[in-house]
Amino acid sequence: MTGPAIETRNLSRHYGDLTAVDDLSLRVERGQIFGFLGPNGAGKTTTIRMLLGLIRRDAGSIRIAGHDLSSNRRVALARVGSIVETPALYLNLTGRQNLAVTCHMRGIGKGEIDRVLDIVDLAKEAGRKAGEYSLGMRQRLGIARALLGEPELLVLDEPTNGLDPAGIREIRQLIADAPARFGTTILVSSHMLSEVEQMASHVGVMNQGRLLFQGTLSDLIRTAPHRLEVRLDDPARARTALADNWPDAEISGAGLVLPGVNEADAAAINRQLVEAGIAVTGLTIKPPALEDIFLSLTGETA
Amino acid sequence: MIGVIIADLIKLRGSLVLLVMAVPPVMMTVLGVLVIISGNSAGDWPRTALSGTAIWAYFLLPMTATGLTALLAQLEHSTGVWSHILATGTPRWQIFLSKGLIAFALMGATSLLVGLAIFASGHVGGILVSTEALEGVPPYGQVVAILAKMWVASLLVTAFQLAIALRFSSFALPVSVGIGGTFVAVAATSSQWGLVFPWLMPVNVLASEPERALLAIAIGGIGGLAALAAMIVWLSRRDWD
Repeated sequence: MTGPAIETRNLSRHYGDLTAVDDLSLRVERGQIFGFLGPNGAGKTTTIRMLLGLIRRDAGSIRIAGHDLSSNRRVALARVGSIVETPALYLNLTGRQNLAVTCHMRGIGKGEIDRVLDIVDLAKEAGRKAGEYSLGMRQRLGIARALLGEPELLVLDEPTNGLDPAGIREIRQLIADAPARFGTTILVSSHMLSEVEQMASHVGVMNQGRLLFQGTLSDLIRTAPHRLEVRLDDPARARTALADNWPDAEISGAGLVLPGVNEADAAAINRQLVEAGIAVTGLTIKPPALEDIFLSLTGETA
Repeated sequence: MIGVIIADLIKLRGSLVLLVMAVPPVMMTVLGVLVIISGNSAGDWPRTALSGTAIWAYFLLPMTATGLTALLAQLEHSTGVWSHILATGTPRWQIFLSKGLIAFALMGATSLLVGLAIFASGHVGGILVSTEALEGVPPYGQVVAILAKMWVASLLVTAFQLAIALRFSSFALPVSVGIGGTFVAVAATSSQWGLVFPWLMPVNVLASEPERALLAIAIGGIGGLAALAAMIVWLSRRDWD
């Protein structure tokens, strides 16, 4: 594989007047677990469908593993495994037959079937019809199918949708282990930050078709405004003293909380309070919760 | 390409497609036996066998094409497997060509079974009621030739039904079109439009004028291949949401 696992430039897609994806430039490096975040309707699935060549783009370009999707679709998708929205299986076939279908289509040796069944722990159930599987088993079979042929890139669209907590944990662990075990890059979409937080090394946040952020989780936290908690002897007087420069300061117990501050701000606030004759007993800069960052980026309320 | 066809054949296992294939020969056998033992057959092998091919051409063949193609497409539509198979990187034309070839082959196999059913019903009827046994020699070669021509003539309607069934995820739509086409065909038999109406091509094979029969085979066969090619281009270029 040469180049990033996924690289899109100025990708756009419209449905009539609706802009589903707007000028999206995304970059997923090899070996990453890239969490693709956004509320429902943000444009994640549309983006994934364009990445997999299922729908056309109105503008922009897509490169998968260095191969242009327009001019070299077959090679670009040859080492990509995917699950889009639901684990779409042939319910009249057994688990093993479902995998055999994909093996024949992709020209993969049938020896792969046992390997992937072992990975998702479905070897004992492989002779049963997929129609008899639970949702969790279907999802695992879908992942097994995506792993056929040792793909360099896995694209998983909402892979834990509809699963019970045990199933979610199982799939999450499978995804988290994949880069180390198989050298696979993973793009996993979700509308649940808590889920991505536990798996992803990098995230992209989308809303209303636009990519609002991409980078590491720590970058996301670092760039977001922090809050300052100040412990002091007279919160009411302190609030009045800071009112001109920090009107958002709020009294919280025996102190003040000031949103959207950095370290330089903290020093200035401390100085101002001391000059006003207020004894400051503690200053703590706290990072925002990831959920708050996500909600603030996507403009949603908790 | 071979791998794609094998994959499509695996998908048929345990599906309703094979059940639909079994219906026409079973119906032909039961119907043929009842006609013979009730004393309402033509009395001889050639005419009785020919009437069997007519029933196939008029009604059962277009309905079988409708049912087979709709169920073939539903294998992919029903659980949304399109998003998986179209994302495998397999050239789209191979995916849709394979569907067409499978549909044509299944129609050919069903035609063969119908031929067997025609002869089986004649023999079984004669065994059950010996006084009603058909006279003359069973026209094996003639019936096989007619069924083969009907199969070629049916390629157009099969490709047309398949295209609709693959394009639209609804099961009801292609089935409605198929039923509608079959019934309109009955009314169109004697009209000028009947010469080119896709659902009538297999029936036209039985026309007493050799030119009309030949035209049906030409339009049905060449038209079927052209329709298949058009379907492949059409479906390969569209978005699969």
